Amino acid sequence: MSESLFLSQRIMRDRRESALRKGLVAIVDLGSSKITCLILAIDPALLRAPRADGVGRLDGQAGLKVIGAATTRSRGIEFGEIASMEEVERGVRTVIQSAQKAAEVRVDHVIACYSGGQPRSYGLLGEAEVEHGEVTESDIGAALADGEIPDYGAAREVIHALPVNFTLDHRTGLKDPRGLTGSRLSVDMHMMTVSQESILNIAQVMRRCDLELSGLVHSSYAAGLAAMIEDELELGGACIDLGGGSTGLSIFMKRQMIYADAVRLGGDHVTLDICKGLEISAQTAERIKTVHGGLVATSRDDRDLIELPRDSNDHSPGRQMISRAELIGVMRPRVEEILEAARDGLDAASFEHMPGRRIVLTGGGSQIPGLEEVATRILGRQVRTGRPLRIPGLPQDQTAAQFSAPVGMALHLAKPQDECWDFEMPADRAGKQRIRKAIRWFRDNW
Amino acid sequence: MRPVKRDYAPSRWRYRLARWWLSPRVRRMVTRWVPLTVVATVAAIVATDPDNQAYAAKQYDAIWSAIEARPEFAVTGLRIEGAGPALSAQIREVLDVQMPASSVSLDLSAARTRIEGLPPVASAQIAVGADRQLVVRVRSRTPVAAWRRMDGLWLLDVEGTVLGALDSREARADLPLVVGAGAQNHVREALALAEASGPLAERIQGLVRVGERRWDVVLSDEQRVLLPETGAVDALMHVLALQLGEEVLERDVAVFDMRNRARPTVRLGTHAVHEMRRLRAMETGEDA
Repeated sequence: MSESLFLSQRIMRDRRESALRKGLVAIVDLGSSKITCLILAIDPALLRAPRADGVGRLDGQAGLKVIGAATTRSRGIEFGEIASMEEVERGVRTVIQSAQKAAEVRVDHVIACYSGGQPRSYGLLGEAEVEHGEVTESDIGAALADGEIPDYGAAREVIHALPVNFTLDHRTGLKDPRGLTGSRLSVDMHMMTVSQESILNIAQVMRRCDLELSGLVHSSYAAGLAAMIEDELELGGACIDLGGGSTGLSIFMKRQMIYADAVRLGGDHVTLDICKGLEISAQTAERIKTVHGGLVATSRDDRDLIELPRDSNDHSPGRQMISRAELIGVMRPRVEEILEAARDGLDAASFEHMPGRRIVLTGGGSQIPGLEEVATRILGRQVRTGRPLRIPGLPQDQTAAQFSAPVGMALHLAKPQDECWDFEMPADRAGKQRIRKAIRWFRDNW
Repeated sequence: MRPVKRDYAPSRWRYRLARWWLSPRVRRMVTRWVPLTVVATVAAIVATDPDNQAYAAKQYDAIWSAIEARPEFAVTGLRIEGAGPALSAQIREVLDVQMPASSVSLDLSAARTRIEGLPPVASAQIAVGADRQLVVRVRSRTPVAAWRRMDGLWLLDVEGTVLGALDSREARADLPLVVGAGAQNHVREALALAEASGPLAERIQGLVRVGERRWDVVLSDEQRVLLPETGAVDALMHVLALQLGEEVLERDVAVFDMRNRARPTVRLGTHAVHEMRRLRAMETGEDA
């Protein structure tokens, strides 16, 4: 793995650690339809109080508290990527300021998540001999460094690199091999890349708002963490985050994300279809979609008439009415298209061969009535809609499905997984390592 | 071209200001240190100006004198309890209060200290009574003995405090006379002796402190009773008992020495000595 990547991610990780020590972190979800900010007060002592089985008190969530929350309509983000710097900056300013006002504190550290950047997943395998019989961090580092990095392109950047599975000799499925005895360690890694300019744009927005970007999470990952329950994470499942501009898709297995993807289709496309099909304004279309929208037509829907508001230039007398069945007829093909795209993504990851095949639908789009039925027909699996986990202090109006990604980020913050950059690189570290060993020896013995 | 209609967002400066205001250090500075500094500076400037100081002093005086002049604080008279006319005059002098006075400007504790500084005053209470009188209650010392020193005759109270000079012994013939250095520290014992003297009382001339340790009782006809350091009263009673039984003091005895209680000793007068020698000569048949 390249040194510069390690460095940049390490710096970000260090900033996150310092923010955690300081006890205040802002979480900003840059979505295509809304920008959300949660200000979290963190009690590091509670956060780091794991039980013997590695699960902390309330799984680490007792240390978190949402003390300020704000949401605003998002402008200038298309397909989850920043399209207008000025507008996004204004949006971030708005949410940060109102969340700060609610929390009555000033936050400097921001962890952002976004759904664009055309994520791509890579599976990597690294192997190393165990040096001293017992697996140490340096062995893990060596194994991770051994993984052959695919050529992911010049304009792309790694956003997540997670050691997913460790195999020590013949034992596989280890989460943390440190301290175990063996001779040959191999590690499966999941690496996720996004386009470089999307990261740089987000960093630029945060800089323009005088904030320090101390972490970046892809929203498909975050949404999965928030919307899936323990069993689904453990046994394997997929989370489909139906957002406004894009649909995120993540597959979890043994609590690790093993695949993620995003489809550049979302709820906004449904709105646009209604807008074009019924010849009404986009705002009206959005309202009709949220109030009357549905996916499964019944005979009653033919009689359910929806009055369309007229725009100000329409001088014709009489009211314009459509039946709900018509609306469903407009919405359904697009939703099916989105779900089919998601299915293609799942197929690419050979999701059908996985043991547990629960699919969780979350995000704002998952609130369309009848979605579960359509999704079951298309995805052919056991499907449910999921809302984010309740974390302390989360306002009632932020517990809806469209807030999965910010809540997931809070959970990710509470229980950060060891990512690849947490381990030492074996290259050119002989001198340093020796000094470090000496220091460690001193610290252990004195 | 119409301006673009946008959603509300705080302007960049407004946003920065809000964040600035939320940072604790800035907030503490603005809400605490800046006002404190301004107030302190203004106060210092105003206070150091001499005109202002003079004006403040004038105002203070005016307010103070207005308070003093309130009829509620007026003290119209002085009443001294427990002192004779001479002592009253003395107290009036040391008190030095012009009537009518104001009770707020009276320093009663200092006045009390001054009054208690007077020798004839044992203790004093001083208060402004409900009838707007300044009441001084004095417990005066009473002279119990006259003390003769080289420089004259002085009055002593029980504690041994010198209360004042005495012009002549006849002025206070009722008081016992004590003489000698250190006599003032044993006035109580001297009084007990004088009291115990009983039938000898009219014969006692005075009590002499000898060597700052014991008493002599000087009687008329230059007779002396020498008393021990301890148990002087008992020794005197012993002498009285002897006087009642044997009338020893009626005889020609110059000194009656009771310093050793177990062996009272008598020194005879000159005439008695001659008589005794004559009688002894007669007994032995020799001619005197």
